[in-house]
Amino acid sequence: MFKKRLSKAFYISGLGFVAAIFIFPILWILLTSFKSNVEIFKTPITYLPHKFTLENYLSMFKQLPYYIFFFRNSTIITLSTVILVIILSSLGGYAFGRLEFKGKGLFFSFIMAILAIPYLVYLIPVYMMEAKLNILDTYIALILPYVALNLPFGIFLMRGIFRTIPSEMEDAAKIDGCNSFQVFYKIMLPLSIQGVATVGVLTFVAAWGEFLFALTLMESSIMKTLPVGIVLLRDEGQSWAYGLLSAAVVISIIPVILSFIVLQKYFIRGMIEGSLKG
Amino acid sequence: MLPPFLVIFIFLIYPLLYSLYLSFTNFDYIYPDACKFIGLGNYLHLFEDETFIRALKHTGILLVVYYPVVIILSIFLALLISGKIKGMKVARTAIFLPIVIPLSFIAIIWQWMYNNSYGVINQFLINVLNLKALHRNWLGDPKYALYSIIVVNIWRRIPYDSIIFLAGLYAIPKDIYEVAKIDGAGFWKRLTHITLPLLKEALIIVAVLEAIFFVKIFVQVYVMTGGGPAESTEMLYTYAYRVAFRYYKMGYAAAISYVMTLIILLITWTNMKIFRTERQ
Repeated sequence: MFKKRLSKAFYISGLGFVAAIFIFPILWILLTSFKSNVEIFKTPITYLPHKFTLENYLSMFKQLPYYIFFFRNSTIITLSTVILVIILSSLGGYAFGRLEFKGKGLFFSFIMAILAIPYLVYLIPVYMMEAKLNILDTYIALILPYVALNLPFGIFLMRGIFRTIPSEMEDAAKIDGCNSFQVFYKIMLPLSIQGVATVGVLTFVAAWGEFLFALTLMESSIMKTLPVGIVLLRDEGQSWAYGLLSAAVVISIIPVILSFIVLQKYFIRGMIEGSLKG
Repeated sequence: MLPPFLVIFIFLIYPLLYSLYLSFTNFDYIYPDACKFIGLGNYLHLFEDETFIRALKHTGILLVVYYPVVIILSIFLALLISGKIKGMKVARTAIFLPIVIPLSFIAIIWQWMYNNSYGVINQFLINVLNLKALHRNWLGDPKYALYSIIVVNIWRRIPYDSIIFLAGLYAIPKDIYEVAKIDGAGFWKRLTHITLPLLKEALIIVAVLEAIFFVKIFVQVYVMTGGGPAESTEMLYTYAYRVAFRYYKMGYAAAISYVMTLIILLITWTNMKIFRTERQ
């Protein structure tokens, strides 16, 4: 009995230690954001803030005037992407899961494989295309490629959902006089709400953090998104602004942390499904 | 039903083919009119490109150091978090949370932790563990910069991979363990004779996903070191990006990207080959 209890205590402390390692960097930036710059640049360093201060958060929007634009751009681009991906991947997943057409197996494995390729392969022609159309530096310049990058996986996931819905329901609706489109949005879509949540949260996290396209397709500072903008702020601030920078990092990652905590179940299920069949 | 496939075609399939075409030309964005078809010219030039070869070597180091370590540690993490005890839900949330934090923020946070004078890692070594001899300029010293970046990636990827192993663990029927316990098999015996062989499917998936990941490492390096100091952390992707959008030699950059794709395919193929022969 004693031995069993000892091994359980050992297990729990091991688990706690490992969890601490993974959460530490995020905790650390949070702690740093509550320290004054004087305290941040003092050795030996303090671990918990000696003097807890909100000064970084309060002066952030004044001292980093671009930050509010980065946040706005990220919000607009991410939300537009999520909405478009949900709509289009429902349509595409339905087509793949329900309607029969030739060569869909091949086409399907093809759209999954293209995600393994370095995105630079897509970025170069997209950059040239958008430069020619004169739409670089606009929201649409980033939203459209983001939709394209997240669609294959979304279609794949929605297809899996639609296939689990018995086709008898669909047939019944058709007998009642619904056409294909009505069947889709009156019967199938409400039944697939879990799939929508999964696609939504995965796309949200991906779009909020995307770096490569945002770095290249948004040229002026005022149009940058948060992941690229934060690097800009770091380069401008050099070493003096770590307090402000930490606060900016914390605020920037709150949306993804919240969405993860609320939708954790869908997020993890989506990841597993994507990897097991992909 | 057309719109989703139209978007995929315009922004993925067409660029994919166009880049392939570009990789056989000397296309330069600044002088588009001078574009000429040069066959395998770009691909052959890679063999004498010192920066490319250095980046390729770094990819090799990742293959030897990063790749096995991340996979083995993920299995252990999955085993650790597969238990059923109070507080597991909180522990798992803490462990999985880093997965959703965008890479560029991760890079900025770790760069701050690695800071030579004020970084928590050096300070912890000096003031808490009293190991002044271990103080290093982690990202500033060419000897350690690549390994410091590898540590960040291991930290970042283990939770992700362990989710896949965890799903694999849940798929193993519990009664197998009961029988083994009755037969007197200890922890290690159960691990090597039951758990690991039955995790093979998950292992293949993780091996493929990790190959796709580590060959394409970009953001962490771009933000933390920019490939320096002295090209000591230059990666295939950071180099290809520079070639495309600093030097505007887009044909050559496309060729590097396609070579990366080939490397990913090669590693995936080797994995399949190893696991297939073992299965027979």
